[in-house]
Amino acid sequence: MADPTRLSDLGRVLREEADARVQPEMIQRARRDFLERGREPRRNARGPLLAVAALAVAVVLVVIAWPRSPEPGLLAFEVGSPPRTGVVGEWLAAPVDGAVPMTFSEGTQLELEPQSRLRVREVRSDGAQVVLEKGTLRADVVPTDQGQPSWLFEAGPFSVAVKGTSFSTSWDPATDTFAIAMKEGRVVVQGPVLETPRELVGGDRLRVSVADRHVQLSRGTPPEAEAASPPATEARVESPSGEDADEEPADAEPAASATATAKTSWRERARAGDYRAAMEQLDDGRFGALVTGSSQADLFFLADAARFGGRPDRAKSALLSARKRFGSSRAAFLLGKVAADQLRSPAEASQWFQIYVREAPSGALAEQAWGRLLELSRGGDPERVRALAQEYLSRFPNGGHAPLARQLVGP
Amino acid sequence: MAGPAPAKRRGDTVGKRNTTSARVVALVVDHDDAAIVAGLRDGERWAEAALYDRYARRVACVLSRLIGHDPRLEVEDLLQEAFVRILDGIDSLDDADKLTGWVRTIAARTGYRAIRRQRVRRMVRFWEPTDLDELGRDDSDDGPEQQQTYRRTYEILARMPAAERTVLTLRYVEEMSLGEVAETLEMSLATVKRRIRRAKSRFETLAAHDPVMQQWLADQGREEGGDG
Repeated sequence: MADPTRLSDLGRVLREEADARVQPEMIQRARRDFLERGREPRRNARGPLLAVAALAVAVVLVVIAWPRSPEPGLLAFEVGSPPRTGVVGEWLAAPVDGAVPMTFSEGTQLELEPQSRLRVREVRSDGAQVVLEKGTLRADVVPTDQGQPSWLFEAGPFSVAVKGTSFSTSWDPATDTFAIAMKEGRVVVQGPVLETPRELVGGDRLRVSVADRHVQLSRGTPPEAEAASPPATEARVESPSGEDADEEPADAEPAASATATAKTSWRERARAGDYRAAMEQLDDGRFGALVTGSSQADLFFLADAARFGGRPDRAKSALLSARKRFGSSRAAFLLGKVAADQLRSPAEASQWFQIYVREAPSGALAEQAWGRLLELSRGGDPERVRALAQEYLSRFPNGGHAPLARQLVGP
Repeated sequence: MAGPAPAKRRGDTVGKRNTTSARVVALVVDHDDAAIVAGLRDGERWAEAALYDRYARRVACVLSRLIGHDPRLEVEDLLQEAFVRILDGIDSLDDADKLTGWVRTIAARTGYRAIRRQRVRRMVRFWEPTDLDELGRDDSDDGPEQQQTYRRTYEILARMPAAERTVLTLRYVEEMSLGEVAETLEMSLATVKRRIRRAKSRFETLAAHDPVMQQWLADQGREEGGDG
């Protein structure tokens, strides 16, 4: 029998080596992923905290950013009316009966709606990062000449990257609902339920329910109503199987009319829902250049257009490029879908879904990936199928494929 | 600060709304576990950040000690999984003073589940890219002696049943008491004792066939003055 003294000594060696492998950089990366993850609704959530309670005890440690004044060269901002100097990292809460205006030194104006709360996490010379903790924020962002977005708004687990635009956005932590209404300009929204980053322009309205995995997108004239309210055009996007809540734009319009000008770009055709026409427009040889030169967001947009436009070969090319150039796990999942649904290649599909669950075991698409693996395994080795089903149920006892899994596990 | 220069304003697009003086809440300084737990139960994001900042390294170390040198398991992924489990189960914590021990328990359970999942994956023959397969490498790649011992030990542990591997690691690497191991793995004390006996026996058998571990065990025997 192994000597416990030696085992203790061995344990000490292992402990030292194991602890030495925990690097601060890894902890920081995981921190970002954890705090920005797609949040599942908590069963016993007690609802939103009241804004601005006059508490006697300060009980919160903000480690991310201690309040500090901007350095020279960085944007400065003022808060409230009458205005006072804003402080980076400081929580701002609007009272029940009034909004709070904020003005930045380059001209951007924000307005925090009543009972809403935010903080300015970071300022730069040409923009800032704003965290909307709860409620609604109206923003009028001054355009910049930079190629990349200079402003980033975080609303719950969603992010809105802005170059210069006017919009309002809201986040309700009680219902895990995100909404944004565009007045003008262009933003890119990322977050849970949205498989790919969504680019929105003036007139677009997007509403996402994380709890229901439900996306509403409408495109139209600039809105006047509150962003958090349901948009005027109720366009529901749901998949009966629970997959891809963002499978197709809800407002897919009829194919472009014959009177559409020849100068309509492929991107505009895709936005209008005319995916086949968008793909035909790329038959002139431009597709290859787009695959090698586009950003990750554009590659996903291109892949979506190809998928819906009946060109799975092109979708695969775009997604392989996203995988190769950006290491995207989401691309692996979508490659699985293309292989399974359009290329009718279950073996390849299974490999891609396996890659996804290995790379992103806690990813937003993990339940769907495991479910697809379960479906693809049917008819195969019974032991393997049962093991997969048990694994699925251990991870997702209430998942969309749970009934199938229980059936496959058997009595 | 001088007033901002509205050089590029595009009109009063936010509208003319009635505004009042801002009530600014500056949240600073101290906290304790009770406040964090209360904040987590209320769904406060600051509490999530505070929880993570306080316990991330401890949780990562527990996970690293459990999974060790296994190229198929990543502490980074499991770290997030552990904290999500902590949030999901926070309502079951009846005493905020026990937060530290409870977090450790969740971390260990997360690692145990990951080890069990790996066993299932091997059984279902998942496709694994060859560039991740570091098992069975050439001895000359192992590096300093302590690192060799580390790698070889976890390679041996990876060949053991998940439960035996975990009880052995929790007992001798994480230095949990038998009672803590039982509570963590939700086993009876008798079961834990039985599994540790079997795990020690199996480990000894496997280590006896490993040249690096044989040498380590022999060196330990000489240091102790015993005959091993």
